[in-house]
Amino acid sequence: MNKQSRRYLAFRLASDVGPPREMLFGEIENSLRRLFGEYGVLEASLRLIAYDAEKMIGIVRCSHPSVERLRAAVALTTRIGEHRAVLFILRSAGTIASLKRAFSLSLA
Amino acid sequence: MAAEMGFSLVGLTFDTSISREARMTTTNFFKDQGLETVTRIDLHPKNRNELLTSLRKARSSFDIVSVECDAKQVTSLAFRDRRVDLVFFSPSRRKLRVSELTPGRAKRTVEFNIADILNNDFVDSNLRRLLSAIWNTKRKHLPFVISSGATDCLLMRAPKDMAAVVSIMGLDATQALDAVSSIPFSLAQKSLEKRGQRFVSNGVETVRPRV
Repeated sequence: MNKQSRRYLAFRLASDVGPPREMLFGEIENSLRRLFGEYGVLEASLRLIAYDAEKMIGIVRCSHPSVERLRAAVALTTRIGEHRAVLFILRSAGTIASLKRAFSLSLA
Repeated sequence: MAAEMGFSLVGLTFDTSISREARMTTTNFFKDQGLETVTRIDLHPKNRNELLTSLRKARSSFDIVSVECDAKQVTSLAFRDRRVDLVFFSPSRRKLRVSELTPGRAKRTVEFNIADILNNDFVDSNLRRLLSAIWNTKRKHLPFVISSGATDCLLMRAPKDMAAVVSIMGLDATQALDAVSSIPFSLAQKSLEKRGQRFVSNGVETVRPRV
């Protein structure tokens, strides 16, 4: 089986409260599930690679064909937990290194 | 945040009650952040006469004039009047029947706001309604723009993310990107040209002779 190509997307969160890593990832996954179902989530093979809670910037990995789906899911996320929030994609890249360089992120 | 999201130009909606000075202060704030601005007004006329009166008052003070089309006679006029730049439909309408509402020969840009689907908890049904309205508009060969329609910063969405929302449901990706970038940009560009001192009318401008 061919290895599926992946994309890395850097995102920023704007919210009153910085949520924990698990809650943030769960919310992104739920949004994707609501739009595309369980199969959509599986196809995306989503993974939160890094999250800087101070800067509220993170990197998420997904399969190449699911980039647009993830962008849409992120755009339709309105809440993280009980708090209103907005997520938006800052940049998409083919490697983690280039994104980390761009946003000087540390792995968390 | 708008600059970080990738916006280069933003449309700021004002009320007629807001003074010119207050508008200037707001636009200068955005200019300081490196963003170009256009001022716009959203008109909500109940009938034809109200639309004509508000257009007469507002046209010269704002760069973009958009009209909410709730009544059929308002829609008919808004789609024909050259002073109108954008038309949009109330999100509370149960069915956005663009094909029934718009007269055949008129070409006005229809605006769809992403904020309308984010405002309450029924994101899925609102999304379906928005997409069917976009398809109807496309079927009518009317140009359309997708804007955030944000009333606060938490309702703002990045342009590429907004394009992704409409493109995932079958709309051509290029068309979706045009709806968030080139079409609104050309609208704004036209309005900005009008601000220039050389502008006389559409396609007419004064040329100073070389001395």
